[in-house]
Amino acid sequence: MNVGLPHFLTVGAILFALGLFAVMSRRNAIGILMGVELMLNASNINFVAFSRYVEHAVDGQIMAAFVIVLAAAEAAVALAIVLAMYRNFGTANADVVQSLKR
Amino acid sequence: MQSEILLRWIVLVPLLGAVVNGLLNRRLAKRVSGFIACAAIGVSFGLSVVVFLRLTGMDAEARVVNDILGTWLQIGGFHVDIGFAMDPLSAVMALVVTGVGFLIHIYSLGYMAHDDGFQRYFAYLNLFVFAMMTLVLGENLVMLFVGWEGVGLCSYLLIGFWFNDQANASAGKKAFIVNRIGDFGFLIGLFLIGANLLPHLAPGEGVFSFAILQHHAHLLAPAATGICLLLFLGATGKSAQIPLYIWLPDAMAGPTPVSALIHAATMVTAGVYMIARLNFLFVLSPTAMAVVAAVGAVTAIFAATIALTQNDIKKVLAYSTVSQLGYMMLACGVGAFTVGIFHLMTHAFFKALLFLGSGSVIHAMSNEQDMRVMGGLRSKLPVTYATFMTATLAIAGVFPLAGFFSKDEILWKAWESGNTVLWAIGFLAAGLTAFYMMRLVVLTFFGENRASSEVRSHIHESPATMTGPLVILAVLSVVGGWIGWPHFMGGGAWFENWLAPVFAVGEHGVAAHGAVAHHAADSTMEWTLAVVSVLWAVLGLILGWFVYYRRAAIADSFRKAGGGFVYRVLLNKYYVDEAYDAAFIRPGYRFSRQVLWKSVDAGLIDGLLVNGSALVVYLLGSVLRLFQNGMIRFYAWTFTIGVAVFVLYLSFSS
Amino acid sequence: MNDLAIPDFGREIAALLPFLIVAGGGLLVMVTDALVKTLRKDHLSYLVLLVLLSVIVVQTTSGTPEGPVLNGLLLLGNFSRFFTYLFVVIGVLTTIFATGIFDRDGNYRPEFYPLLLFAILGMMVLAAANDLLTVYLGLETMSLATYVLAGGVRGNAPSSEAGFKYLMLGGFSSAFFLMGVAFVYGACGGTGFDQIAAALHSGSAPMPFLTLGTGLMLVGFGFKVAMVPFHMWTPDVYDGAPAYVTGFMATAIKAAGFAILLRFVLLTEPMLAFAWYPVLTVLAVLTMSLGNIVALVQGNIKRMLAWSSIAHAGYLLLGIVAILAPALGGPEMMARAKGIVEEGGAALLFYLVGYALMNLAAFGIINVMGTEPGVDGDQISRYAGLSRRQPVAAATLAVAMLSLAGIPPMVGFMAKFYIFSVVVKAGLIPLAIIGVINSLISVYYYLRVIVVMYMHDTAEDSYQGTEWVSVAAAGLLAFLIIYLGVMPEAFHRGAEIVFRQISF
Repeated sequence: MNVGLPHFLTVGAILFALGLFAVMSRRNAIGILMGVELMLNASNINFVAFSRYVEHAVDGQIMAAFVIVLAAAEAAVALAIVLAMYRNFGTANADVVQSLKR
Repeated sequence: MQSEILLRWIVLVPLLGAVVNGLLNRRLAKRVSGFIACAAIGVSFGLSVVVFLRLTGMDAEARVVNDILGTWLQIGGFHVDIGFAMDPLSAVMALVVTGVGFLIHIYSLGYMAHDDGFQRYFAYLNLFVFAMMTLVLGENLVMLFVGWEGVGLCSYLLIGFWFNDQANASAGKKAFIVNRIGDFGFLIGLFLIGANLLPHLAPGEGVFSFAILQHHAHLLAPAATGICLLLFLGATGKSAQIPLYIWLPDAMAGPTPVSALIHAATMVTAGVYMIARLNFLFVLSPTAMAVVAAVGAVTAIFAATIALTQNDIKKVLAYSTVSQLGYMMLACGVGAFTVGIFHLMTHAFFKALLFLGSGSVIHAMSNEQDMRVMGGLRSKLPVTYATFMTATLAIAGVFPLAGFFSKDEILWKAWESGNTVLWAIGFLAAGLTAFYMMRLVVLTFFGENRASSEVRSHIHESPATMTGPLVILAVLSVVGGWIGWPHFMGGGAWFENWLAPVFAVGEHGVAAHGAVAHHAADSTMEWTLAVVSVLWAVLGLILGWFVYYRRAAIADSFRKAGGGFVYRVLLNKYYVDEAYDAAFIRPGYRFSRQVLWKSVDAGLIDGLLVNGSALVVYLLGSVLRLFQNGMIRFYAWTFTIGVAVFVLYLSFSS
Repeated sequence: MNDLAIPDFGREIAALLPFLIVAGGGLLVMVTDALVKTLRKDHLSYLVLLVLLSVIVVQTTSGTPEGPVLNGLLLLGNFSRFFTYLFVVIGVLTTIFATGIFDRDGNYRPEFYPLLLFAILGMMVLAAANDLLTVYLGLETMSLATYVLAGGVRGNAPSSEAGFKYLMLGGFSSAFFLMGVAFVYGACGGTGFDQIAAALHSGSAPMPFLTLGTGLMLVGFGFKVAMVPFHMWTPDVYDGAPAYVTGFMATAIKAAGFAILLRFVLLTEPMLAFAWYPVLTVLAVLTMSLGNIVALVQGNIKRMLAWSSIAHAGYLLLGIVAILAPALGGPEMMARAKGIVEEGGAALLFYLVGYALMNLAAFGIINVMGTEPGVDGDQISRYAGLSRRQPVAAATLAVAMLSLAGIPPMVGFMAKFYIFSVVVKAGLIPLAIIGVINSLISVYYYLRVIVVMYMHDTAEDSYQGTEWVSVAAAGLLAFLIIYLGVMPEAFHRGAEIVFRQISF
C-alpha cells in the first residue's frame, strides 16, 4: 500500500478526536491536560505531513518544533496551576471546582 | 452669515458656573454658590439679549449669526463642526431658556435655602442650562443631539436629587430609560439622514448642519416619512407625548423649581423645538405631519382628562404640561410652526409660574402636596394667590392674557387646516383645562384650610426671592402674548413676522401640499372662533368654581356635625362623590381614572411596555445565566458544538 | 517564510528594538528580583515602568524601519506601532494599579512584573505578525503569561480556579486554532501572509482545506476576544482573577485579539468574505445580545463587566461585518468599498482605544474596593454611597459607566457612533438597529452602578484602604474619556492613517 497524505491526515484526525474526547469526558484536571496535548500533537502530524507532501520544504516541521516547545511550556504552567488549585480546593477534580459560576 | 463670538459664551458661562460649583461644592458658602449660579445664568441671559438686539438690527432674510469653534468629526466626506448659530427661532428659545431659567434660579435661592445639597443643586441646574443652550444654539443636528442627551442626564440627576427617597431614584431612572427609547428613534433618524445625504454632498459640507440640511432637504424626500417618524419618536420621549409621556408625572419627585424649569418651561419643549427646527424636513412628509398632529391632539385631551382626577397639586400640573405640549405638537402637525413656538413661549411663562406658585404653596404647607388637605390659602399667601390666579386665567385662555393668543391661534390653525376633528379635540381639551385649573385653585386657595393645626400654624408667605420671580412671571403671563396680537384684531403679529424667515419653507411647504384650504381673509370666522373659545374657557372656569366651591359649603356644615379625624375621612370620600355627581361627569371620571389612568397609563404603557419588556429581558437573563454553570467540561462541550456547527456551515456553503 | 535573504543586521536590530527591550526587560526584572536581595519590592515596579517608557521613547524617537523584518515573520509599520503604544500604556496603568494594591495590602507578587512584560511582548508580536508561525508564537506567549497572572495569587481559591479554567479552555482553543493553522498551511503551501494572499488570489488553494483551516483559526481568535459561543471562560475568569489583571485582560487581550482578527479578515476577505459575512453577522448579533442580557442580572461588578465585555466584542464584530459587506455587494458597493473598509478599520481602532480607557478606569476603581487584603469587594451593593465616602473614585467610575453605556459626550458614545455609522454606510441598517437596541438595554445595568453609588445609603465598609495613586490614575483616564469624547477628531484621523497602511 502506498502511504500518502490522506493517511497521515486520517491519523491526525483520529488523534484529534481522541484528545477532544478526553477533554470532554475526563474529570481529572491532568486527564484534561493530556487530552489537550493529544490535540496539539494531532496538528503536529498534519504539519509534518503537509510539509512533506504539499510544500516540499521544512516550514511545517519548524512549526511542529515550536509547537512541541510551547506545549511543554504550557504543560509546565498547567501543572503549577493545577497544583495551586489542589492546594486551595483539596482536589484536582474539575467537576468539583466550580465556585465561579452564573 | 455673520460670525458672532458672543454665542459661545452664552453656552459656556453656565458650564463655568457648574464647574465652579461642582468642584468647590461645600467649600463654598451657600450665599457665594447661589450668587455664582445666578450670575452665570444672568450673564448668559444678558448676552442672549445683546445678540438678539443685533439680530433685530439686521435684514429679515439675513438674520443668522454663527460661531464655529472648529471641526468636530471628519470621516471621509463626513464633516461635523462644533459650532453655535442663532436665528430668530433659536433667539426666542435662548431668551426663554435663559430668562425663565434666571428667574427660577433666583427662586431656588429661597426654595432650597435649607437644603444640604444646595451647592450640588446649583451645579446641576447650571449644567442643565449649559446642555439646554447647546441644544438650542447647536449649529447642527449632532450638537442638538448632544444637548438633548445632556438635558436628559441633568434631568435624571435633578429628579433623583433627594436620593434618600427610593421612589425618587427610581423615578429618575424611569425618566432616563423611557427617554432612551425616544433617543433610539432619534439616533436611527440621524443615521438615515446621514446615509441618504452623504453621497450627494460636496467635501467639507457639514452633513448635519441645519443650513445644509435645509438646502438639500429635497434629496431626503424619498425617505422623509421614515426619518420624520423616527425623529418624532425622539420628540415623544423628550416632550412627553403618547406613548412615552409616562415619565413626566413621575418626574415630579424632584424639587419643584426643577419641575418648573425642566419639566415645564424648557427641556420638555425640546421635542417641539426639534420639529420646528426641522420644519423643512417634516413638511416633505404629509404622513409624518398627520401623525404629529394626531398624536398631539390625542395627548392634549388624554392628559387633560387625567389631570381632572389628580389630588397631588404637582401631578395636576404635570398632566397639564403633557396636555399643553400636545397642543404645541398639534400646531406643528398642522404646519403652524410659528404658533407652536408661540405657545411654547407663553406656556413657559405661565406654567413656570404655576409650578413656582405650587412650590410656594408646598413650601408654606410644610411639604404637603395633597390638595385635599389644603384650602383657604388665599389670605395667607396673597402674592402667591394673585400670581397663581393670573397664570390660571392665562392657561385657560382668557382674553387678553398670554395663553389666549397662543391657544386661540392653535385652534384657529387647526380649524383652518380643514380638519375639524383636530379642532374639536383641541377645543374640548381647552374647556377641560379651564375646569381642572379652577378645581386646583379652589381646592388650594379657597374654602377652609383642611390641614392639621400644626401645619396650619406654620403657613407663611414665601420670602422675596421666591415671590419676586412669581410677580415677574405673572406680568409676562399677562403681556407675553401681546407680541403675537393677531391681524384680525388689528395687531401687528410681530412674533409671526419675526419667525417668518425660519419657517418660510416649512409653512409654504404645507400650503403647497394643499393641506391648507383657506384664506386669512375670513376674519369673521376667526372672530367667531376666538369669542367662542373665550366663552368656553370661562364656562370651564365657572363650572370648576361652582362644583368645588359649593362642595366646600356643604363640607362646612358637615364638619360641625362630625369634626376631627372622622370629618377628614368623610370629607375625602364625600368630596369625590359629591363633586362629580354635581358635575354630572361621574361616568367620565370613572373612565378617566379607572380606564385611562389606571389601565392605560399605569397598566398598559407603564406596566406592559416599560416594566413588561424589562421583565422579559430580565427573565431571559436569569435563565441564560444558568448556562454559565461553572463546569469546565460543559464549557468545552458548548465550545465543541459551536465549532461543529460553524465547520458544518462552512463546508456546506463552500 | 520566504527564501532566506541575507538580512541587514543593523536594520533588523533597530526594527526589533522595542521587542528586544520588552523581552530583555522582562528577563532583567526576573533576574533582579531573584538576585538582588536588598531590593525593596516596589522598586521592581519602577524598573517595569522604566522598561515600558523606554519602549515609547525608542519607538517615538528612533524612526524604526518599516516593512517586513526577520524574513517576513513580522511586518512593522504604523499598525504594529499603534498597538505597541496601546499595549504599553495599558501595561503602565496595570503596573500602577497592581503596585498600589500590593503596597496597600503588603503582599507582593514579584512574578507579576516579568509576566506582565512577557504578555505585552506576546501581544506586540501578535499585532506585528506576518506569518502564521509568529501569530501562534505571539498568541501563546501572551496566553501563557496571562494564565499565570490570572491564576497565580497564592492562597486565593477563586484566582486559582480562574487560572485553571482559563488555561484549560485556552489550551483547548489553541488546539483548534493550531489545527486550523495546519490546514491553512496545507492549503496554501506556506505560512507567510504573503504566500497565503498569493494562494488565495491565484485560486490554487483547495477550498475544503481552506475553509476548514480558516474557520478553525477564527475559532481561536473568537476565543480570545470572547465571541459567543466561545465566550464561556470570560465571566468566570474575569470574576476570579484579581481586578488589576482583569482590567488588563479586558483591554489588552481584547485589543490584541481584534488586531490579529482584523488583519486575518482583511487577508482572507477576497476569497472568503462570502463565508465570513453570514457567520460573523449572526455571531456579532448573538454576542452583543447575550452579553447585554446576562449582564443585566449580575450582582457582581466584575462579572457584570465580563458580560459587558462580551457585549462590546459584539459591537466590535459589527465593525468587522461592515468591512466585509462591500466585498459581497454589487458594483455600486464596490465603488464605495475602499472608503468603508478604511472607515471601518479606523472605527475599530478608535473603539479599542476608547474601550481600553473606560474599562481601565472602571477596573482601576474596582481594584481599590477590596473587602480585606487580597480580596476584591466586587458586589455592586458594596458601592452604595461611594459618592460620599470617596467622591473622586465614584465620579471616575460614573464616567466610566456612562461611557460604557455610550452616552455623549463620553468617548464610548463616539466609538459607537463611528462603528454604527460605518455599519449604516455599508447598508446594514437592521444591524445598526439591533446594535442601538442593545446599547439601550445596556444603559440599564451600567446606570444601576451609578444609582447605587449616588442614590443609596452608605454601605458598611469593613476595610477602608484608599489607594490614591490608583484613583488618581483612573481619574486621569476619566478625563481622557471625556476629552476624547468631545474632541475625537484628531485621534480618529490618526486611526485612519494607521489603518490605511494595512488595508491591502
